[in-house]
Order: sequence, then C-alpha cells, then structure tokens
Amino acid sequence: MTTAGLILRLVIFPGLLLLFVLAFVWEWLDRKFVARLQKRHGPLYSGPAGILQPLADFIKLLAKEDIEPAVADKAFFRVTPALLLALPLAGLFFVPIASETALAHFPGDLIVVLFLFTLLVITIFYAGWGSADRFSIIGVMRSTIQMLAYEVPLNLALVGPALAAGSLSISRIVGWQSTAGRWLIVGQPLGFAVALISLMAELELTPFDIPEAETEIVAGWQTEFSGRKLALIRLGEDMNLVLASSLLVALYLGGPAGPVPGLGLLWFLIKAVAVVYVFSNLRAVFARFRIDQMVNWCWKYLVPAAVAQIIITELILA
Amino acid sequence: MPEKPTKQDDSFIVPIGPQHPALKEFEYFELRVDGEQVLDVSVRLGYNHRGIEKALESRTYSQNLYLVERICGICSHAHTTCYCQAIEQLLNVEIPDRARYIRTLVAELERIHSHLLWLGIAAHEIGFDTLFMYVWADREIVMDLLELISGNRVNYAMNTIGGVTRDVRPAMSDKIMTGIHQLEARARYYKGMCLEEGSVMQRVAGVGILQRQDALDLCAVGPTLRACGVASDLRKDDPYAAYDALSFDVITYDGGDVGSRMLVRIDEVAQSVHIIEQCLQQMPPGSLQVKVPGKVPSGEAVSRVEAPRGELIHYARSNGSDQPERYKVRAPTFANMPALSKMLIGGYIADVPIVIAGIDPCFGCLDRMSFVDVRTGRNWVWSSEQLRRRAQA
Amino acid sequence: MKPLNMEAELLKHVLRKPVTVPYPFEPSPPAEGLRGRPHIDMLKCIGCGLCARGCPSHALEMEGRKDEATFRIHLDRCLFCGQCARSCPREAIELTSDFELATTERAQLVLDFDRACQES
Repeated sequence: MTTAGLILRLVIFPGLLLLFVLAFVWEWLDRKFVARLQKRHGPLYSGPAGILQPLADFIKLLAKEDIEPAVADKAFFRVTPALLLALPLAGLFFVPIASETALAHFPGDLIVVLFLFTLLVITIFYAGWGSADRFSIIGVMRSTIQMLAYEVPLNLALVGPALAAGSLSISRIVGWQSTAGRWLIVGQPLGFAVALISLMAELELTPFDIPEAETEIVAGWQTEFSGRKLALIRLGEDMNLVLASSLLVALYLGGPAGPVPGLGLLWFLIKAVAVVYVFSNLRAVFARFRIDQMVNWCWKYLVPAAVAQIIITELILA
Repeated sequence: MPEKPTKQDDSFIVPIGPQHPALKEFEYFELRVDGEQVLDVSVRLGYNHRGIEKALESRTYSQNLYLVERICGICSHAHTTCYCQAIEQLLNVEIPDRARYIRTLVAELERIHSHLLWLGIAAHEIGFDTLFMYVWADREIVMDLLELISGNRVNYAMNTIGGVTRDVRPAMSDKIMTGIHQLEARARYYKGMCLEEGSVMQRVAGVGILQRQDALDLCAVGPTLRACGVASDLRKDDPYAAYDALSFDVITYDGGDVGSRMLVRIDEVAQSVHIIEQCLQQMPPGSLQVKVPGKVPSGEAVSRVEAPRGELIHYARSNGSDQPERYKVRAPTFANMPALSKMLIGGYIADVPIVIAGIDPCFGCLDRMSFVDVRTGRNWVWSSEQLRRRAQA
Repeated sequence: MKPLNMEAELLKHVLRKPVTVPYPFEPSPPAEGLRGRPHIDMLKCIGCGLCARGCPSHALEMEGRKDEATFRIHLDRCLFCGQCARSCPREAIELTSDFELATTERAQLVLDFDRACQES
C-alpha cells in the first residue's frame, strides 16, 4: 500500500474525516431517538431535520470563553480533554468499518481496545482531580467506583467472541463471522446483552450516568470545563459512542458484511444505527441508579451472566 | 450551623445552593459529608425574601389581592383564597354559594396542577427525564383547563374580596369533565408504572424516612405529614369554601419515605378529580360576588387553607382604613423545613435532591422572614393556638 | 418489579407526532377569554378614574377628569389581572386576547387612549 494511499485512508476514508462525521451524526441520531421516545422533536432547525445541530453546538462551544480555575492543576486540566478525544479515536483504528480488515490490526488488538477503555476512565479521573472542585471530586470518585463495577463484566463478555473465533484480533473475528456464515450474537446472546449494558456504563448513559448526575453534583467531573475544552470533551463522548457501537457491530453483528458484497460501509452503518437505537431506548426508559445500587447490581447479575456465557461458549466449542 | 468537628474526620462540605441544578429557587443547604454519606445539614433561608409583607401594608386591600397572588406561582389560588377569607372575616361578609363552589373547583384544579408538576420534577431529580417529559405533557391538559376558566395558565385572578370574578359556564363544564377524566386515567397509569419500575422505586423507597412521632414534633404539614400515617387535612379538619358539602378521602400512607409522599400526591390527584366532579354537578346558581366596602373595620383575623403543599396560614390586622396594618403569611414549606433537615441526615448525597424535592418545597412561599437556625419548631413566632386566641380576643 | 416498564408506552409514541406545538412557526390561537392586552373604549368612558386608582401596579394612568380624561397604559407594568375592567362602572375596558406583545422597542409598550374619536 503506497504512502499516499495510506495517508488518504487514515485521514479521509475510513479514517479521521469519516469518524468525525460519524461522531456528529451519532449524536444527532441519539438525540432524535430519545426525543421521539419522549414525544418531542429533538433537534429540528439546524440543517434538514436538525442534523447539523451537533456541529453547531461544537462550533458554538469553540467560540465560548475558556475559563480555568486558578487552583486547577494546569497540566491535567489542559491535557485531559484532548486525551478524551484521542483515546476513542485510537481505538476506532482497530475496528473494521468499511472493509473486513481495519486500518490497523494485529493479534491482540482487542485487548488494546479494552485497555483504552480503562485508560479513558483514568483520564476522566485526572480531569476531575485536576479541576480542584468539590463537585468534580465527588464525580470522579463515583466514576472510579463505577469502573470497578462494569470493567470485569465488560472484559469477560468481550472475550466470548475471541474464544469462538480463536483470535484476539477484531479484524480476524469479523472475518471468522463471514466465513462461518453466522453472526456471533446468535451463539452468544447473553454475552451481547452483558457487553451492551457494560458499555452503557462505560459511556455514562442513564441509568449509569452517575458520575455526571446533573441534579446531584451539577456536572460531576465536567463541572469546571468550558469553551474549547468542553467542546473536545463532548466530541470525545460522541466518539466513544461510535467506538462502543462499532465494537458491538464488529464483534457480534458481523461487521461490515451484508448480502451484497462491496457495500461494506452501508451494512456497517445500518447495523450501527440499530445499536445506537438500542442505546437510546435503554437510556430513555430508566431512572438513574445510585452508586451503591449500581455496584451491587453489576456484581450480582452482570458478572455471573458473563461467566455463564463463557462457560456455555466453551461447552459448545468442545 | 453544624458544630466544628472535635476530632479529626474525613468529612468535607458540599454546598447545595444557593444556585444548584437541583433547586428551582435559591436556598442554601450546607451538607457536611463523609464520602457519599451526609453527616449534618445546615439550612440557610432568606434568599428569596422580597419584602412582600411590608409591601402589603402600603397598598389597598383590592390591590393587595394581586400581590398576594404572586407570593407563589403554583399555589397562587391558595394564597388568594386564604387572603380573601381573612378579609371577608374582618368585614363579616358571607360570599354567595356559587362563589364558594367555584373557589373549590379552581383550588382542586390547582392541586392537580401542582402535584403533576411535582411528579415531573421528582422524576427529573432521580434522572428519569422520560417520565418528566410525559408527566409535563399531561400537565398541559390542566393548564389549558385553567386558561379556559380564568384566562391565564398561572395566577388565575379568580378570587376577589366578596366572591369570585369569573363564572364557570356549562360549555366549560363539559371540557373540564373530559379533561379531568383524562388526567385521572394518566394518574392511574403513572401510579402503576412507578410502583412496578424497579429503577424508580429503589430511588424513592426507604429514602428520606421521617418517623411519625418526629413528623408530629417537628410540625410537618401536608403530604409530608400524611405520608407518615397522620390523617391531617384542613379540608376535613377545618372546612372552608365548599368542602363541608363535598365527600372525599384523606389519603395517608405509612412508609414515611419519599415513595409514600409520591403515592400520597398521586392519589390526591384522583381525589381532586372526584371533588371537581361533585362541584360541577352540585354547582348552585346565584351571583358571583357581594359588594364590599373599601375600608375594613378594625380587627384581627386568621385564615387557614390546605394548599397543595400543606397548611397555609394568613394573619391580618386592620385599623379601619383601606390598607392593612399588618399581614403575616406562614407557608407550608416553612413548616416542613425542620423535618427536612432531619430527613437529610444519614442519607447519601445522591438522595439529597429527591428528599428536598419530596417535601415539594416552594421557596417563593417560604421566605417571609430570614431565619438562620431552624432546627426546632420552637423558633416560630406564632403558633396556631396563639394566633387563634389573638384573633378571638 | 417489571423492568423496562415504560417501554410499551414509549414505543407507542415513537411513530406518532410529537406533542410539541410548532409555535411561533405556526400560529397557536389561545383560549377564548385569555387575559391579554387591555383596550379602552373611549366612547363609553366617563372619566371617573376608578380604573387607575385600582390598578395594583400603577400601569394605568389617567390625565384630566370626566370628559377630558385621557389614558396611558404601560404594558411593561401591566399584570393583565383585569382589575381595571372589573372596576369600570360602564364596562369600557376590555382585556383582548392579544398576547404577542413582546418587542425590542420600549416605546411600543406604551398605549395611549385619547378622545380624538369622540364627537362634540
């Protein structure tokens, strides 16, 4: 592959430009889905059906004043928003979006993506800690405790597809699903459910939006961020949503494969939109858990379900 | 103020207020916390103090009607009813029967409005925005009915000294009946839904518990008191307007937690629908108001009303002129404040918004005087016995 | 406890029209009897001044008396309570249902009523 071709793929398609467009469109989709479930319109006037609203919000935030608390830790406060955008982007390079192999792949890239999720939480911790605000500190305490609750079921559930496909590379798992002719969700529905719920906790969606509970601790760890930094954080959240939905599509729903070959991106988008719809629906239909209830619930239900799924998968393989 | 810790502890202070997304109006709750647990609460009131009681002394009784109405946006009719009753007592006039029924009708519609608004806010406080959107969409029904009857969605200006200002015509009656039956069905749906929705019940059941004896000692009022099993409702204990001729139940639940308060309010919506039906069916013909003089003879009067949040007391003293000499308002939220402080201690930070919301605080009604220490009920200036004795002397 | 309890209700509404009223992009007429902008019929007015005296917020000012009385209403002080309409012995004041009164020009919030239309 020529250097020019590689750069084109990295920056334009299916690289950065596509990913940024997807991030904005996924945010719009989520907002529209939730609004329709709540009998509202959602974004309506910026662009056709409001599709330019997330972009408009991003540009508006870039133009706003960027206030830094005097006692904030400058290094953490300034670097973490950029990291919060860069980490999901890095993860997305390992997920096949437009073709059966991702931009980068090697055996073990699934573990790298899982590690990036953990790094994300650690970055959130430094973001809130660096803010030096009592609401931020409560927010990151909750965020860290929440990670202890969902990290284990998430890793366990995502190991299931690796076991079935016999490889720790996401691209190989996608390839296995097309050669085997069936999606992994058929054999591992429990694992899919556990992965879905754990990813909702990772994305801080209701009922797991405890670290940024608006009515309790103002904005949690995001309280002190404004202007450009807040724009980057929000874009990072959207990118995280793209990463989570793409991961689920790749590992359980066969990735960019469909009845008509050559249209990989189209099939991928259709499946990802379905996953985003499930996220939005689940986020609209629950009240927020309390942190102790969340930890209890995850360890009582999610972890045993994930372990059961692995046992079943092993039995089937044997 | 909470005492300074005498030994080394890990607690720090989380301020809820004066500006906070959980509070619709400003007050200041200083929580001393250890991790997620609340150890102590210090409440500071007075941010919303507007000098209304003083302003009432320099306006005529008729102008004061509109000032009293704006003490609170959502209990506005309760305030004007209480005011008109006090002044009518001083003038020694009886309002026509039709006026009494119309006052009751609007008061119950306001109660439905207030409780639906509360349900939406409570849902928002526990992070359930979908329920919030749905309940407030249904609230539009009652707001449209009130607009039909009174000409405005809030601040109805239905009361005047001597009666009411607008009539409820038969064409309106049909619309009101349809509207309230829709609301009753929706209230039933929300009750069933909340009771069975795990994520809602685990945030409100067993949260913000107030023991029955504490509720009585700290003089809690309204749904907060009725959720501790005490059947105290002014509409039955000391009937005013047309309540002595209407039949309805006083709703009580035994849990003493936020969940019980929620159920009390939802059931009260159903009771209000029942009362409105009776009002429309039994509405007597007649005039809407009696003419009253501008100058009020000297005297004192106390009037009480069951506002959506609890017992509301107004005290008026007149001196023969057309402006009151002294007017005092004791709103129900003020009575619930000591109980609120008790409920918050020992809970989690995550529970603070829903517990504060659980007493349905109306800080606009609350700030008649700034009190810094509201720990015990003994800091009040007037009790209802004292007020009544003074009014009858 | 049923999980996802509100789901049936949500799915019912997904494909229906939202309840949001698209005002102001489409008109939304208020209920009959809405208390909006006050209007004084100067042909009926006898200049007694009861309306101006009764106004809680001093929004209605009268100049002159009896037949020479003219009025000025300050909409930024008006509560739209209707006390003026009720105090008038000749029912000369009416609260119309005009509620779209917002403006960026202060001068548009002052309404003047004089005797120009009266004969004799």
